[in-house]
Amino acid sequence: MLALVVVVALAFDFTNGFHDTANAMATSIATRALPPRAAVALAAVLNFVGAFLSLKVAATIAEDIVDAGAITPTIVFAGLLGGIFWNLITWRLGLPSSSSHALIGGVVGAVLVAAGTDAILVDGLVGEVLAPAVVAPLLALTVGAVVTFLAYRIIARRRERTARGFRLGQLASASLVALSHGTNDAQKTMGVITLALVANGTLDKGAGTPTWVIVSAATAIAIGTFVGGWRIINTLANRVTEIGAPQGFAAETSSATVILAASQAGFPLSTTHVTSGSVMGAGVGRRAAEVHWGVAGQMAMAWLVTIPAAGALAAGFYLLTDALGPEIAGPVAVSGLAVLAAAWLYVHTQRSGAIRAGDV
Amino acid sequence: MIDWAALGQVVVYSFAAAVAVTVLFSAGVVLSATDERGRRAPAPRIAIAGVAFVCSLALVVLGLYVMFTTK
Repeated sequence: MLALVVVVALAFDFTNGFHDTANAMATSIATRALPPRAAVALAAVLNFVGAFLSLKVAATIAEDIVDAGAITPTIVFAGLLGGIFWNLITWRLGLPSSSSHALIGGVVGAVLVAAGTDAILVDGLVGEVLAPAVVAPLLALTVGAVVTFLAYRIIARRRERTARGFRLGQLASASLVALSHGTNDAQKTMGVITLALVANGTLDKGAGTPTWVIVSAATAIAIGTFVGGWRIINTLANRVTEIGAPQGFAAETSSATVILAASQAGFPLSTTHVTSGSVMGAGVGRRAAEVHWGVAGQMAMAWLVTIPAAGALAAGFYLLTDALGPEIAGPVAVSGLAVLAAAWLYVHTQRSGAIRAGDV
Repeated sequence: MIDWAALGQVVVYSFAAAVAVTVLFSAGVVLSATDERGRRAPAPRIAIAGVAFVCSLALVVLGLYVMFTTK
């Protein structure tokens, strides 16, 4: 069971990187600051490096939102599968939803059916997940709009001759976003694997994250990032608003500053919500009519339903695993079914209109 | 439930840092840009642009420092 949880956690980490490549690089691709393949390669390297930067073990998902005593390997297994499938569904729809919220929703859903409502820490859920989910896009949108407006005021009549400079600046700010994404998101998978190792008795409580966990989580998120979720990149790069080089720079600078300010203050914000809000803000700051609010509305809807949807999926996985036998038969059978379902979703998506690097 | 102090800090720091980096970098880009005839900017303007770039770079380094040291 432990080995299966580790494999599923790394699979989640892969989908996290795959799903969130757009966060750092969509605007750089949109403004042609970098060719698409080079952009995702840079993001992959920076995500890998970022995973090694922080010493903090991010097991807070379990500690602050659900009663840690209620966590079992089966709950972690089902929660991860819920997160993976919500990531795949939103990738299919080309919607940039939060992978962290998918994981949290998955764990909450599995805990709810396994241990009931008493095991959910409502204060933590509201204060650390729901409130930041509202704040992140609104703050990023406002900051993005203000700095885009300022950038265009400053460059005024020299717009054409400044594009190259902004593209170079955009590379630096996008790199910061990719680095912080690796730091924040790879840590979550490390935390989940460490939690499973402690729960299994393989690792002493407080022993710290083993090196192989750090390296494997960093590798999984980097490979996922390199594969590139082109459907989501296409949405952020082309469908929300038309992005010029100053807007791309302003959006990435807004994202980087909001994420770093949140890290510094210990206020957890979703990288996806921040970067999506910044891209919308970059459209508003230039001219409000340029934002495609229909697409923005779809994204907001995906953000609203991420936690309940991932929770419902995870609850289903938990009940199925429990019914088939939680020791080994259930997890193995459910893993097999999950692999088949994921393969079907991938093949179906490729057949019904694949989006590749050249299309973005 | 909600850490309002932390939220206020995020709002203030985000605005201050984003505005500072954008204004400095944009000023540097404009000051170092060629004119309508494609001629290079005069040396004093290039020097001021250099200072603006260095200041914005310093803010990015500060951001990296925050990332490295945040617990």
